[in-house]
Formats: sequence, structure tokens, C-alpha cells
Amino acid sequence: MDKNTKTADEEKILEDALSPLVNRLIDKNYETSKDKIASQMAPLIGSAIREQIKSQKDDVVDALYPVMGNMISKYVTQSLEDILNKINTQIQNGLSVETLKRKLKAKIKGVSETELLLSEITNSKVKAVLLIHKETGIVLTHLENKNHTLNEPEMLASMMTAIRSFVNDWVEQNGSNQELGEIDYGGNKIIIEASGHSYLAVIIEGAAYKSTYDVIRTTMQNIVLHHGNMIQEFQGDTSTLDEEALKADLLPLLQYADDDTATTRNTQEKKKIHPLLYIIPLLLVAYGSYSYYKSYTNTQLQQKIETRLDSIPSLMLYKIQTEVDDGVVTLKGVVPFEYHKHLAQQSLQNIKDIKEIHNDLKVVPTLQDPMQVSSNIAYLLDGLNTQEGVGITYTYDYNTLTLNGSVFNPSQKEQILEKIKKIEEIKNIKDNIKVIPPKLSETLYFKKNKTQLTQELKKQLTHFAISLSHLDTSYPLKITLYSDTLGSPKKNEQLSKKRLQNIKDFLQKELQVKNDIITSIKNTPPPGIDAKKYPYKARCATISLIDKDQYESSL
Amino acid sequence: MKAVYKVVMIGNFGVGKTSLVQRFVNNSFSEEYLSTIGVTISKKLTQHSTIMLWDIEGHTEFKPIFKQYLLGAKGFIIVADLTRTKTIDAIEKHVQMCNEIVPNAPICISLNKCDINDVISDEKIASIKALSPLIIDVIKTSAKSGDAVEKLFTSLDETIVAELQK
Repeated sequence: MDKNTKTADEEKILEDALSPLVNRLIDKNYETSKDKIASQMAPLIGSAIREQIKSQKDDVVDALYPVMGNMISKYVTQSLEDILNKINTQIQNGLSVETLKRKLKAKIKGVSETELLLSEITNSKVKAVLLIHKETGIVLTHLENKNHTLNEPEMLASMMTAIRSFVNDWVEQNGSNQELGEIDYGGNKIIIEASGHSYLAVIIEGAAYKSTYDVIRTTMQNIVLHHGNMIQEFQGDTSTLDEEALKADLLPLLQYADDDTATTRNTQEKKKIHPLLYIIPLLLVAYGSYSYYKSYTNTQLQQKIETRLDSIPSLMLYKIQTEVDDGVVTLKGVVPFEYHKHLAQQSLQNIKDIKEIHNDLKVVPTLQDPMQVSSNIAYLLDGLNTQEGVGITYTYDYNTLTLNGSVFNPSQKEQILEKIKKIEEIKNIKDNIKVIPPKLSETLYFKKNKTQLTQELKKQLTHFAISLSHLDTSYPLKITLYSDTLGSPKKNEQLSKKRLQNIKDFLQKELQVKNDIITSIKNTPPPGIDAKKYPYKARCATISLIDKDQYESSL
Repeated sequence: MKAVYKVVMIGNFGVGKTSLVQRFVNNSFSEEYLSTIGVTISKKLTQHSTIMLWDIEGHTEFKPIFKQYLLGAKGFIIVADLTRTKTIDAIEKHVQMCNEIVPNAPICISLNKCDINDVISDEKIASIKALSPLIIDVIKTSAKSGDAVEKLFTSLDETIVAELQK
């Protein structure tokens, strides 16, 4: 008993003494040989995890969830992004022929357009087809997509056969009669369709759809139907095989990839060209008709413009070229004055087919030659002289223009001088133009003892006032009353006064004549009238405009 | 005529099936022993034919040969190791299996590793040859030195091509 207690005590002492030392040694060992510990621990970790999963599965799931969740969501997001990008590209193609075709196809097949769209973007394509002898693994024939040539098809076929054999041997042991259907690797898969003596291995990139399997099955059926015996009798001599016929049967399978939705981009592009081929001639015809119509309307408009320009006398002298393009008129040429440039443009203003006028007329003062200047003055004056009351002649003596003649009123004179001044080459103008009002006069006859203005007389006065207003003059009017001398002179004077008053009133109040009026009452008949013989001719009043000289003398 | 056919290498593990194929196809040899898992397929083009050589996993007591691999073969090469009597004794079973799965397929027997041990009695060779009328030859070979390897494959090839031409 004592001995036992003693031993226990010694152990306790030893433990107390060694434990700090041992801990230190472990720490040191851990520091110096981390790698060694890691390699020793590694195999244990696998077992530990397995054990933990076996006993505490939920704990492990919880522990890994944050990591796995993120990883999976990241992968899914990436994949979805890829799909979205592809869908976006499809949508951006918008109203292409392909889109319409897809819509139509979706209606006919009774599947959703989305499914078709997805099948398009997943981009499946038959890379190669191998017809393989079932037992030996020898390639009877093979076809490959031109973009995907197969390296060593014989090796691939033998390996495929070995894999098939292995799987079939293994499943046979399990008592079920099943076949290897397909092998997936990465984004590719090999679909296997077997018959009695041969099988098809179809290498597909991307997804396979029901239609894909249908085509493969049909191809296999055709091969068996057409070449079953030949394949069955095949012993290893490839010359006994009709390889061309076999290939012909396989071809639809390879072409299926090109024809269907799982097409290569190349063929899609080729197909896109078709509608364009039809549109180009249409466009050409449309463009031709449009050009013809345009040139026709242009010619029409140009003729209109030229006729208009020709009808203006002051532009007739100058060669003004016109260009018309779709309602836009360009005027080109040289004119001597800004005035002509504006005139040309203004004259075209009310032609309704003109959309726009580009006035490129150049103003070039070319009239340096005195003869030209002279003829230009003559031309201008010819125009001006057509106005009523204007009669101007000129002499042009190298830089000095002398103007002679008369006009009815000062404003006419002013206007003429202004126009003449526009001829820049004229340095001096000597103005001898006289303002000579026209000889305006009217005789009003009254009936015996009557002083009132009859309608006839009022009409005469109105005509006079209108003529006066045209002259725009401030010269006074002179009204002279004559007598028939039949009655007493006193009575005759009274009658004349009343008549004068009535005339004045009518002129000033009714007709608003502003000119000064000079009056004169005479107890005689007008000069040269025999009152006794023609009393009605003597009973009158004359109204006339006093001319400049008369006026000045009257002052 | 262009023949394409399948030849299967059969024999116990480690007798040198892979080495013989390597010597025949690539004319190379490696001392390193790598056990074949499943099957390795090699292709050899000869003057008249393309031979697909199926080098299958060696037979052991615990692992029978997958018979499916033998289907469709036009000929067999059964390999034994001159240094291991057990592998020579196994030839009989292999011959039986070949006859059973592909009747009438010619067989060539290789007694390999003759560079290490060349000693075998003529009676033994005769008895091996007598196992089946389909055995066309029993040849001592060495994948290491290349002795008779070409002959082994060529004699089988000639027999098969001649058979196909009939």
C-alpha cells in the first residue's frame, strides 16, 4: 500500500517536472517542421472528414455551406451571364430573317420560342460521326465536320469499343441488358447508337435535343437497312465495304447540324444574304425611277425659273445660269449691281415648287467702259421716262453726267437721282432737272341764276382733286369766276361769290384739298367768249394749278 | 486489298505483353514495369494491313480477363514468361478461351524474356504447339533485345491477311 502511494507520488512529481519541458519541445518541433507535420496529417484529414460525415453529417454541411454556397452561386452566375450575353446578341439581331423564321418554326412545331432560342444559343454541333464494327472496334467509315478533324479515328473507335465492352461486360454481370448510351466530356458528348453488328458514335459539341437523337436513330436504321449484310460479312477487308454508300447514309447526320438550329455561324451568314439578293434589284429599280422623276421635276422647275428671269427686262442683259436639284435653286453668273442680284432672287419668290434659293450671283462692277456706262444710263432712263410727267435726257461726258428735262414733282426727281447714283462709275452728276407741274385746269359751267354745285360739277371737281393728289405738289390753285353780264353787275357779283364759296367749300371740306387757293371774281365773260351769243359759256369758273413762274410772280 | 483487323495480346500479368507491343510499334523498350489497367490500344501499319493491337490487362488469379475484349479479334498473341513456369502452364487455358470466344482465329505464342532465360525443352514447345491446330507458331522472343519480335507479329499478320484474301 505504501509502495503504491509512493509510486503515485513519484509519478506526480515527474509529471510536474516534465510537462513544461515536453510542451516546449512540442511547440519547437511544430515550428521547425511544419511541412513534415502537414504531410503526416494529410491522410488523416481525409479519414477524419469521412468519419465526421458518417456521424455528424449536418455539422459538416453547415460548416461547408458558406464556402460551397458562394462557389456554386459564383459558378451559376457566371453561366447565367454567358447565357444572357448570348440571348442579348440574339435580341440585338432584332427583326432579322432568322428571328421571323424562328417565330414561324415555334408556331409550327408548337414549342415555345424561348426553347428554340435557348437551343440556338447553346450552339450544338455534330463534330464527327463514326460507324464502328461492334466487336472489333474497326472503323467502317467516318465523316467529320471540316472544322473538326479527328485525330486517329481508328484509335478512338477501338477505345470506344473497349469502353463499351467493359461497361457491357460489367452490366451483364449485374444481370441487366443495358447498353452504354453516351459519354460526356466537358462541353462535348459522344452519343452511341448500336445495332446488331455495328454502332454509331456521334461526337457532339454542346447540347443534344430530342431531334438530334431522332436523326441519329434514323441514320442507324438506314445503315442497317441498306448495308446490314455487308457489315455482317465484314471480316477485316475494307475493300469489301462500299464506303461511298455508307458515307451517303451518314451525311444527313452531319448536315443535320448545318441545317438545323444548331448551325455553324458561317451558314447562318450565308443564309442572311438571300433576302438581300432579292432586295438589291428592287432597290435599283426604285432608285432608277426616283432619279428619273427627280430629273423630270428638276427640268420642269428650271424651265419655269428661266422663263421668269427672261421676263424681267433689267436682267435680260446678263447671263444668269440656274441649277435645280430637288427644289433647291442655285443662281450663278455675274451681274453689275447688288440690285440685280436681289431682283433675280425676288422675282423667283412666288414660284411654289422652290424650296430654297442659293443666290451665288456675283456682283462685279464691270462697267468701266464709258460706252457701257452710257448705255447703262440710257437703259435706266428709258425705264424711268415711262413714268407720267417724267421726260429726262442726258449727256455723259466721261465721269460727268448731265441730266436735262423735267418732272412733275420733286419726289420724282429725288427718286430718279437716287437710282442714277447707284451707277458707281458716275463720279459727278449735274442736275438740270426741272420740276414742272402739269397744266391742270378745269372749267365749271353754271346754269342761269344757279349757285349750287350740281352732281355733274361735283364729279368734275373730284376728278381735278384726284389728278392734283397724284402730282404731290404744294403749288396753289387759282379759281377765277366769270359772268354772263346779262343781269345787274351787282347781282352777278353776288352770284359769283356764292359760286366761289361753294367750290371752295367742296374742295376743302369734301375733297380735302390742302393747297392754297387764290381767287379772282371778274364781271366779264372769259376771254374770247361772246356773252350775248353764248351766255351759258360765259357763266363759268376756271380752276388751275399755278405753275412755278406764275407762283413766284404772284408772290 | 487493305485489311484492318484486331489482334489481342493475352497472357498473365508481367509477362511482357505491353513491352512486345512497344517494341513492335515504336521499336522501344523500357525496364520500368507499369501494369496495364483495362486496355491499351495501339495501331501498327504494315505493308498490307492496319493492325489494331489490343493490349489488355494481364490475367491474375483474382482477376479474370474481360471476355468482351476478345470479341471480333482476327488473331491472338498469347505471351508467357520463360522465367516463370506458371505463366507457361497458363497458356493452355488462354488457348481454350481464345478458341471458345473466336473459333478459327489463328494464335501465335510468344515465350518472352529469352534474353534472361533461354532454356526450354523441345518437348515442351512441341506440347504447347499441340494444344490447338490454330497455333501457327511458338516463338522465343525478347522485347528487351528485340529478338524475334518482328517475326512474331509478321507471321500472324501474314496468316491473317492470307485468310482474308481467300
